[in-house]
Amino acid sequence: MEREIEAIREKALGDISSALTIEAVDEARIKYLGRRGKLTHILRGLGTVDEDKRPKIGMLANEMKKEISKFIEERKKELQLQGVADEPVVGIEDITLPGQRRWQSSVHPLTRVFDEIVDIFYGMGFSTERGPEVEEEYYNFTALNFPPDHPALDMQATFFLDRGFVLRTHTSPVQIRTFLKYEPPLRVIAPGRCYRSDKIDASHFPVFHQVEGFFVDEDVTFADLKATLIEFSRKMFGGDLAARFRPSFFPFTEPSAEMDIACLFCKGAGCKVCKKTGWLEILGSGMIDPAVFEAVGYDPEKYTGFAFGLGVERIAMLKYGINDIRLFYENDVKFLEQFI
Amino acid sequence: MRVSLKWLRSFVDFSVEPDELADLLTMRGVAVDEVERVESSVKGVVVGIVEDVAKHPNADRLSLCRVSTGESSYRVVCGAPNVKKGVKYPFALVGAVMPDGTKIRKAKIRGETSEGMLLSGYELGISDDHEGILELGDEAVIGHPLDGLIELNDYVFILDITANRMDLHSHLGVAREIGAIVGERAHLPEAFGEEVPRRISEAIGLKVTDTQGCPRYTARILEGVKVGPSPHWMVDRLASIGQRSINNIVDVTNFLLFELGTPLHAFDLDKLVDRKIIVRRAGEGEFIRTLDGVGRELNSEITVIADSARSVAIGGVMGGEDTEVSDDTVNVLIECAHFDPCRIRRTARALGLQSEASFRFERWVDPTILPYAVDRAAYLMKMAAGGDILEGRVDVYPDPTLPEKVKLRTERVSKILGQRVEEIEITSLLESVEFKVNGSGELEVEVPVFRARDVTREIDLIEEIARLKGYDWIDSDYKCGVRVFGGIDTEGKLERKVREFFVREGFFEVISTSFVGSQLVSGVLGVPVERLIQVGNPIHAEERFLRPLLLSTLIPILTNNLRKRNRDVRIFELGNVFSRGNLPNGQNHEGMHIAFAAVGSREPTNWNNGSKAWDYYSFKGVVERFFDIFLPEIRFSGSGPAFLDDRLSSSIMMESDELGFFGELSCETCRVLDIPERVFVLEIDSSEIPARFKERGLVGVSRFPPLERDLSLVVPEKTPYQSVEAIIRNTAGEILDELFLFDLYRGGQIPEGRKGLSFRLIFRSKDRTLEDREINSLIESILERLGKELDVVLR
Repeated sequence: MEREIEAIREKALGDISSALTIEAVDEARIKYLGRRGKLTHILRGLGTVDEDKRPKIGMLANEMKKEISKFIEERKKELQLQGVADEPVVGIEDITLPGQRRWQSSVHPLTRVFDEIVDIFYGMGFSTERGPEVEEEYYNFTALNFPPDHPALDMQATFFLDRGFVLRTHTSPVQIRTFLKYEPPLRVIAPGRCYRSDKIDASHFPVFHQVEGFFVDEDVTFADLKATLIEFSRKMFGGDLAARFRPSFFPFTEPSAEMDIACLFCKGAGCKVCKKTGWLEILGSGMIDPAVFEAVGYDPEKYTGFAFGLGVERIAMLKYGINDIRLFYENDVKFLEQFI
Repeated sequence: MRVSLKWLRSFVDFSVEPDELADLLTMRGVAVDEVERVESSVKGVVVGIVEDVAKHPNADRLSLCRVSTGESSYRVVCGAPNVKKGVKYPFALVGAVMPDGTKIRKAKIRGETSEGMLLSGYELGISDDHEGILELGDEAVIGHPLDGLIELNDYVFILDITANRMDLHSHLGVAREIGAIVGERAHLPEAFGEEVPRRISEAIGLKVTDTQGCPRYTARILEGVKVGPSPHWMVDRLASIGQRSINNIVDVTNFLLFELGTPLHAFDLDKLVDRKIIVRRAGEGEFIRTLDGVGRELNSEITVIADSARSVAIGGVMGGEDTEVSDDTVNVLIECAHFDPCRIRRTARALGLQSEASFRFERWVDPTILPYAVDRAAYLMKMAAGGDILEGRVDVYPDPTLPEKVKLRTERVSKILGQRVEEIEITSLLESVEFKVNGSGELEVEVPVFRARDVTREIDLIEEIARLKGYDWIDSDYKCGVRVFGGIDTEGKLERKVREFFVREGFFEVISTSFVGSQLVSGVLGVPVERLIQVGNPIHAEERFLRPLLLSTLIPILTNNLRKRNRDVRIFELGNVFSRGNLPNGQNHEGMHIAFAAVGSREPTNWNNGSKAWDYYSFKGVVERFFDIFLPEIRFSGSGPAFLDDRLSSSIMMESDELGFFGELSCETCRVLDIPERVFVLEIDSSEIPARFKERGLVGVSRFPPLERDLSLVVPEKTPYQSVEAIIRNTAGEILDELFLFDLYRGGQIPEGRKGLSFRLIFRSKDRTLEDREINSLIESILERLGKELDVVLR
């Protein structure tokens, strides 16, 4: 009996050390220690052994069981360690296979330009005010010194709603709302969505975005207007860009000025984009008309101020070389991807 | 507005190069958008010198000249009274081409051969002066082509006139600006036509009853005209600014509209019943057929020109067909009037009829120039069509417009511009554009009537000074002190965080239009039409509503992308939506929403991992991460709106308010929208976020090791996961650092009617090392509660 046990031990240890896979080790475990295993068989058969020999053989078999179990664990560990190195992983033979990526995305190009614009003005001490897109005609036109029945209204193809409401045609009504809410000094930008009922083409879309800005205090002059907007254009488009201001007309500013920068594409030499003028119009501006101050109860003798409005689409188109405004609103993923 | 430089030269003499002039005008506020070169068709004209002048043997008014080009000399018959020996003139050789395209031939004139032609400025197409041939200066080199000496080509400026400068809608107005640039005053061209001694009052009776609509009415009469083609110089000028020639009468009225900015109208005098003109308000429902052949019904807001029987023109807008000048017209009444801008604007709107005339009257026409304009019309018509100008004009002008005076404080100029302009310079700048300046310190400035509408206040004068001085002159110095600070606001900051979140999740931001059609919004998304805000004048009739949900524009973006075979679309938008209150008189509501949607694979297709499509739970993961950060207080409840699958959707609740919904579009919705994919969407009202959002601080990183336990539970099939999780979390308390469900299975050893949920719990304490014992007893209490409350057992 003892010899039988010893023989099982020998065989078991041999089988286990010659097992080359974890599965083979497991097979050996079942063969010797499993429910119908050889050692189990002996332990079960202890009842038939002489009573006096029983404890000794039992002990022997139990020790043997422990030893084999331990040996199995060790062999398994050994194989596992080997296996990590040897395991035939797919791809290891070709490390030029592509890596696995995640989806990338980005904010909309208009948002990017928006953020860039407002951050420049935040750095210059401006803060934000907002106003509704569904706006009262009073704020959109009347308080901004648009005379009723005046051709100046034609400049702004308006979407009309009922009960004296319009879709705001510019962000300028936020000037009025802000003036009615606070007293000067005020240095404010108002970014937002505007609407005009122009026919849709490469440069017109019924929805567009503006950043309005205004600065009202006791000694604000046209020189401050120029300084602020030139600084803005330098930060936005690059340091050494030429800029110019030329007279224009808006009912709510006087004097009014359009600001041009040297064409970004031909550097002022004249090309298709700038219609051979060498200049690109980027924003409208002016000294706030005293009539506007009167409408909101500011004393125009005491306070002066400037205001400006810039088209976000226009600036984004210049910045990214986009020639059709409709691309922004189509939101083709293939377009958006290019701004990651 | 197009202006021709040749035409401008009839008012003011200037020698600035066209491109430079364009820049100068632009910088003074007369924006030149484009400069077009109009090539002259003149060819073969050289400088010739008259060596000898003799009388034509057979004609008193003609002379016989010998003209030399240096190489050869030619015999030329000349009709000009000013031809002189020894003077250089433009000389058209045989074969030369004239502006109208005709070729110069060798010809016999009254028996004498003429081998060429000496030309006037008129014949060259450079001026309307045909009184004599054009004398050339000393700089002209005999025999050289004329091109190098005289600009034969014309240039057309395309101007972008601002709404305040009604005076610039004419060559005269632009010429005045050029005059100020070159330091000369623009002069008015010839307008005196010889009259016959018959008073106009004998030929026409005039009565103006609507003086409010028509503050001034003037007219002249030309009898015995011959209607026919216009002289080619006038045809040319009209063509240069894009106008078609009609006949020598109508062309003159058009010509003057563009020359002086004063619209005129010519009536066939003989067709005016009783030879009467009555300017009155139209009767309600009165009918007229206008020149464009359209019958129009009028109202009493409209001013009409009538004869004793009917209206013959809509004042300031368009003439009537009945009294139109035709080929048979012999006697002409030339009308030149001033109409009230507001009334014209309303008339043009009401009739849907815009004309060059109404465009100008809406913007206000200088009433003081009318007598000159009607004189010049008579003069030009007589020149073009012959006839006799009757003596005098009719002119009803009960309330003459006088120049206004505006005060100007010189120190106010620097207060606005930030830079001082000396009084003497202010004066000379203003005088250059025909203002009159008096006084000192506080100036009294008389505004010329043609600027009466746009210069009425001190600030207008300051603008005038700034513009004339040039904005470049003003320093760009920051001069005022900083008394106010700025920076980003809370909403702005939060919007950026939201965008940052979605970009992290791989979603693209989209910005879409605000206009939507009812088919999608009401038909599919189920928003009642009466809740929508409607645009009165939409671009597309169907898309006349403002979006009440971002999904109403997100979904079309999604389908457009799918149609373009962009299979994987993950998009989000932040934007305002609009609706109208429930009540019949409901208020407009405008508020910010956030929406996002996903379709296609949730990871890029890859050899290493296959392709995994979005499903409810992967989308819900994004939803949960979003709310964990921005609005942890919300809960999901029930199912979403009807266009979502009722099993795979939820409403998003904040206390008892429904903030929005998320889930999968139902099969029916996808069928209607023709989307062949599974689409997951979320939309919420984001107005709660700014108030509730909390910037997170650090909660501390534990220095102590975690203890992990896996729990495999057998749960009754009907028990929702959420209640199991809730009990575990509740019982474990703060010590439970992480919990996740890593397996869900059925069948096998799990009995029918139950499901297996496997959790991994990670316990961690901030202040001590946890002991097995402690966790074991915690697990026991968890199991006990689960067993008692939910009939859950350990597997």
